[in-house]
Amino acid sequence: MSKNNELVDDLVAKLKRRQLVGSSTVAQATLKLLIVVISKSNWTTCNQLLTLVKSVGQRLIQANPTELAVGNIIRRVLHVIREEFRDADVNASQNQPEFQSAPLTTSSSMYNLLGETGSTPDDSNVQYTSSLRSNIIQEIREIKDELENIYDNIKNQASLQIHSNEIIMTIGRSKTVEEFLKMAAVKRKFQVLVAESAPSYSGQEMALELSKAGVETTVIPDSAVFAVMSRVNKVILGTHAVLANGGLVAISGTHMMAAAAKHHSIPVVVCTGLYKLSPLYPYDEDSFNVTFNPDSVLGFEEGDLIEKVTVTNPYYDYVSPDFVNLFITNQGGHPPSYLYRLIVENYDPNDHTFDL
Amino acid sequence: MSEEFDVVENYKDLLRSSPELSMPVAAIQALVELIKHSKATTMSEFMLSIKDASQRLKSSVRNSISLSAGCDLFLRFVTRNSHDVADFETWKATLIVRGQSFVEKADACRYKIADLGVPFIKDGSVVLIHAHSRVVSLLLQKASENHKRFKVFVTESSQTQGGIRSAKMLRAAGIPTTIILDAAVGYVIDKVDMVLVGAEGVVENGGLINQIGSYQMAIVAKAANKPFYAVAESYKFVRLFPLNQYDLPTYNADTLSFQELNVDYEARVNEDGTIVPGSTAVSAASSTALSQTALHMKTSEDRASQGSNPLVDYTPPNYITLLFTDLGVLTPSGVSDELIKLYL
Amino acid sequence: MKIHTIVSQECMSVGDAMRELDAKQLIDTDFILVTGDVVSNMKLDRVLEEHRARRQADKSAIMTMVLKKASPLHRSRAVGDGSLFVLDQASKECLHYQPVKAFKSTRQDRRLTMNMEVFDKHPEVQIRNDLIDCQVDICSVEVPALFTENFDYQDIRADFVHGILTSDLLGKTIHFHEVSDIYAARVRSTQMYDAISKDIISRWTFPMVPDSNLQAGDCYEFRRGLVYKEKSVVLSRTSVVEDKVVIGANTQIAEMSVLSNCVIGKNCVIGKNVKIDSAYIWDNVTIKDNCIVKQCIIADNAVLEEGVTVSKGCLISFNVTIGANTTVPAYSRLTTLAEDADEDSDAELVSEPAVVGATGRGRSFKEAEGSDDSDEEIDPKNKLVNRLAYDMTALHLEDKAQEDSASEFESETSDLEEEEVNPAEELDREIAQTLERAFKDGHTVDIAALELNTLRMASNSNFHEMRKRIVPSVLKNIDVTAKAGSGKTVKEILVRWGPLIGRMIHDEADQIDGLFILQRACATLHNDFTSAKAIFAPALRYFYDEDILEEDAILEWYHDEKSNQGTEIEQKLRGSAAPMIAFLEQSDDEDSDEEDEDEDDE
Repeated sequence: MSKNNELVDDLVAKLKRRQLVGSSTVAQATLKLLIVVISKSNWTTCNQLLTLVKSVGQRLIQANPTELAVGNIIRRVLHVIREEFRDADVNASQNQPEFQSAPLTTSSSMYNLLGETGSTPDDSNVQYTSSLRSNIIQEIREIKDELENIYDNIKNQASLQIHSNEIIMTIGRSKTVEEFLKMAAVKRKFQVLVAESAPSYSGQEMALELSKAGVETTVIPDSAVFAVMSRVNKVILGTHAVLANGGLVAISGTHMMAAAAKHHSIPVVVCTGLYKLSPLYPYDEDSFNVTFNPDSVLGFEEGDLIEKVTVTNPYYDYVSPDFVNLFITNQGGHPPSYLYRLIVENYDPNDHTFDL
Repeated sequence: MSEEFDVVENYKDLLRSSPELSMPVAAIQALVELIKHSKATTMSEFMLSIKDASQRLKSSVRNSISLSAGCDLFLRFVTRNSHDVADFETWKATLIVRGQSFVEKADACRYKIADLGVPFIKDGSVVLIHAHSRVVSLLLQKASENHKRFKVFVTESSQTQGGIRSAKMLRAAGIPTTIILDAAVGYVIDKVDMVLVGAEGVVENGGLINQIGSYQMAIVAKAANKPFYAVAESYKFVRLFPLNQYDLPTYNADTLSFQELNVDYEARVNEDGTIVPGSTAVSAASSTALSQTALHMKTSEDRASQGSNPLVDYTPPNYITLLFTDLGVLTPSGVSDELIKLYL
Repeated sequence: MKIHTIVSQECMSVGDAMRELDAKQLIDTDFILVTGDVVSNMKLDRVLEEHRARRQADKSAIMTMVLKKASPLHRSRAVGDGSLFVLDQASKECLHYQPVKAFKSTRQDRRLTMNMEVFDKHPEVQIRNDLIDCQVDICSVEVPALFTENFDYQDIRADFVHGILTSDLLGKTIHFHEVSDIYAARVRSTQMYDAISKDIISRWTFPMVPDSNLQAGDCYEFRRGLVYKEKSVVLSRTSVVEDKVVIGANTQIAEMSVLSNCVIGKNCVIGKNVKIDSAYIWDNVTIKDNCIVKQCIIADNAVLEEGVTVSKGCLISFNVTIGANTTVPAYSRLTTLAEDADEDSDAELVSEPAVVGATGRGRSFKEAEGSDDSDEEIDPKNKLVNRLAYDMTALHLEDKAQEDSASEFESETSDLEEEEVNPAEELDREIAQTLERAFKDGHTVDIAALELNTLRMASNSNFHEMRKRIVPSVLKNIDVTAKAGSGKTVKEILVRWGPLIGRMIHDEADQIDGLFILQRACATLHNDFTSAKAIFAPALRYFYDEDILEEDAILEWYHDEKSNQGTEIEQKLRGSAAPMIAFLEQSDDEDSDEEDEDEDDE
């Protein structure tokens, strides 16, 4: 038990100090930790296990609230746990017809208003078996596999989306988009414009990677995005997180690009793994933003100026769902209005705000 | 037999005794009461009596979408639970128990919604609300208790004086509130950070049915790029799919008809609601129209000559940013999903 | 990671601590040395790698200092403790170190002295004043031993680094690593506390910022305008939080209060209409209505009653109470510690109403005198400069002091090389001193003359300059009222020292010049004509008799218009020479008659 605590403390410290950043790395680290915690702890009822995972989850989310992937993974796991217990429950007792249409219902739907007042799987006395434990671990490992194969699923849709002689525009460095474009380049010939995304200049790294793969790439400054947009066929973006209303938390400059695209009626496509989909809503634009060290904007050496001037360096942008046309996920392509469905399928409504 | 129990009277009593009770919940409670007092002995007789009572409730209060929604939901509830009828009496007993809990859950919806909506009120923001909605007031009061500092603009909605009631409630909770003219919504929209309205009903495509003026506010909010949030309990979801304003069941031929030829411009309404006609002679037809619209009027400036103005309007889903319900925060497209689950 | 704490009562400096470590033999590898007050977001891996690689190649590289580039006037540079580094960029070696004070009172303070041999190995060096010394050092395992060897090393920079670099014997080298994109600074004084707090609030130390909630139990949220507020803070509706504010948990701010540029701790209660600007307020502080708090630090549990104004630069310590409507004077330091309180004694606190108000509790803190055991004089201004809210405009008051110290410098007589001071004044001085010596010690004229000539040649001067000074000097010794036999009468002095003047006079031009000088000197020395004449006339006579001044020169001088210009006394002196002139002219005629007669005789 204390070993588990140590592991949790370790991950919490890394998250707080931002030694672990980026949705993918954070998600994988969280999963690894959860597998260890679940397999090494003592639990018999559903409630116990849920409480355990929730307490770990709460600590991890508080360590870095802007890394939404942590919360997403925790909620996926909670959902898996509930499902497993529900299945075990159904198999055990046959006299609850209402729950047979389980995939559609969630415990707080109107359906439940009309249904039984009583048992939810949480309270049920499901017989604990070791197979239950291994089933849960198995499911979680499947999530892990899914995470590791994210790029394959997404990039296989590339040739459907990109056609020859198209001009694609993107911003910043996204591994998903990079894989997507590289895969498309195998079969199609197209050009890519990359906005350099100051002050991190990750766009320049992206351009380098793409050109190594033989894609004709051009780097443009962020200010030129609108000017060049009229000649672009598609905008393909990566994102840090996707919110429940279809909005994006993406690198600074994305909102500008999406707005320019909307103005010119150019389709905006977002490539993202489903682990980035969060059931939270954007209470305001600053909710999930991180303001970084202003040094890359105005050097610290400018002693005179820093006394008189406040310099901010927000890392992310919030992009409202009106700007996005399509999400390409590892489970296929969906419009923003469909995301609620994906959320219902992957997360339990009781878990949306468990950390608050 | 079931005439001994007057469901409409019961309903009205319930509303009078607890003014915080919303209309649909009161209706459902009245129907549960009906079941208790029902002397039906067979299933079909029972179902018939309930349908009949539901019908009477609906017709007793005109223009209430939420009431209809509530009644329909209860009917569905009864129908759903009518399959496994082993013993009629025990089944009736179970029904009563479940019905009671249903009422309790339904009533508690409001508090769940308030909790969901509080994080959306930012510290230092300005909120625009429409007329009077119990849930909206509760949400704002809760936000204020959470030490959020915000100000409220409320539309007067002169027809129902709802704005004034809202303002009184909010000021009592220490929230700075200003009453604005309904026509001034476009004027204040740039000072506002978000718009928050209640709901009479939520239709299948995620659109909103609410007190007249909501659609206008939604259009202005969209033009000014401000978020428009609607607050609705889940029992207000109805199986309607209006294509325009006139597809609503509340619409009748009189609504905004050009029938104002015999209007009494000097008519005044007393405190108790009786109308004192002016000098001009008035025809019977328009006087009923008068009485209908004068139901809620109190001030003396009201023009009984408004004709039959609509009481509710329909807001299409593309103007609505989010819906706060007890099922969680939903995008308009998520509403249909919930409805499907219910009626499958 | 394990943490060992070593407590030592006798450690007074880094040097002592290092010696203790060496004695305990706790360290057996290279190690990182930081002070407890360092604030940084630095990742040390790169520096460590460099250091290790260097050690592999060269065992004499004993230390790597981490230095951050910043402009000289940067607010995060300690004003009082600057440093001058001489660096070689190619080999990343530090060649020389010198601490730089804000107020330089001694000669050493203003100069950089370097060993010239350094340039043999390092043809290209940089002399840098734009570096913040983070005092984060990667030290090799030999460093503690070096401290033990040199047991008077106290400070790691001023003593250790300076010493190692200026010592030829040790042959050790010290390297540096310059960083520009990370943040590191030491909280060495209240001024730095202020500057670094501002840097943290402006997020220069990201990710070490309040909303990372690194301390367990914190839950700060970041809002635009650099406002950090914990969730449980209660702000009244009319209170205004401007930008750059940090507010801790459970703090309450009442109506109409305005906060800007401040840090407020946990559980504070701030009353109505309080204005807080650029202040640092710690935990559990109560500030009642209508207070004004600016540019100060208020520690835990302090209480400010209604209407208190705290002026800039104040430090209000734990548990101090300031009575109602008091204005705390600027730069006060208030404490509740009783005076002369040892750990055992139960000394009672005597409050000073002047600073804490009639109902307050606290007194002004005065530093213990004479606690310095170093004999170097620390200019008190250097200490003041490190104070919170030290205002550079306060320099105006101390301008005069600056001038004083400049002239003090000129009166030092050490070097003869530089002559940036006025050479004339210097010569004055030299001559005066030489003559004084001569008079006092009774040198012979020869010796005195020798000395004066040497002076003349050394200062590249000429006889005129010498004359100008010697004549008045000599004449000064004359006491007009003295009696014969005292050695001070005109005659006696002239006899004694006249020849000296003679040595300064050679040709006719010199003589004429000498006469002018004599005239002026006599006139200047005495305000009345009688005394002046009492010197002038005999002097004239004497010099003529001794053939120091010849008649042609005297006549020349007399007939020159310039001798009749000048002050009244000078003119009168000229007049007093008239009889002599007459005599000379007469004898001239006689001479010429004689010559004629001679010629006639033939």
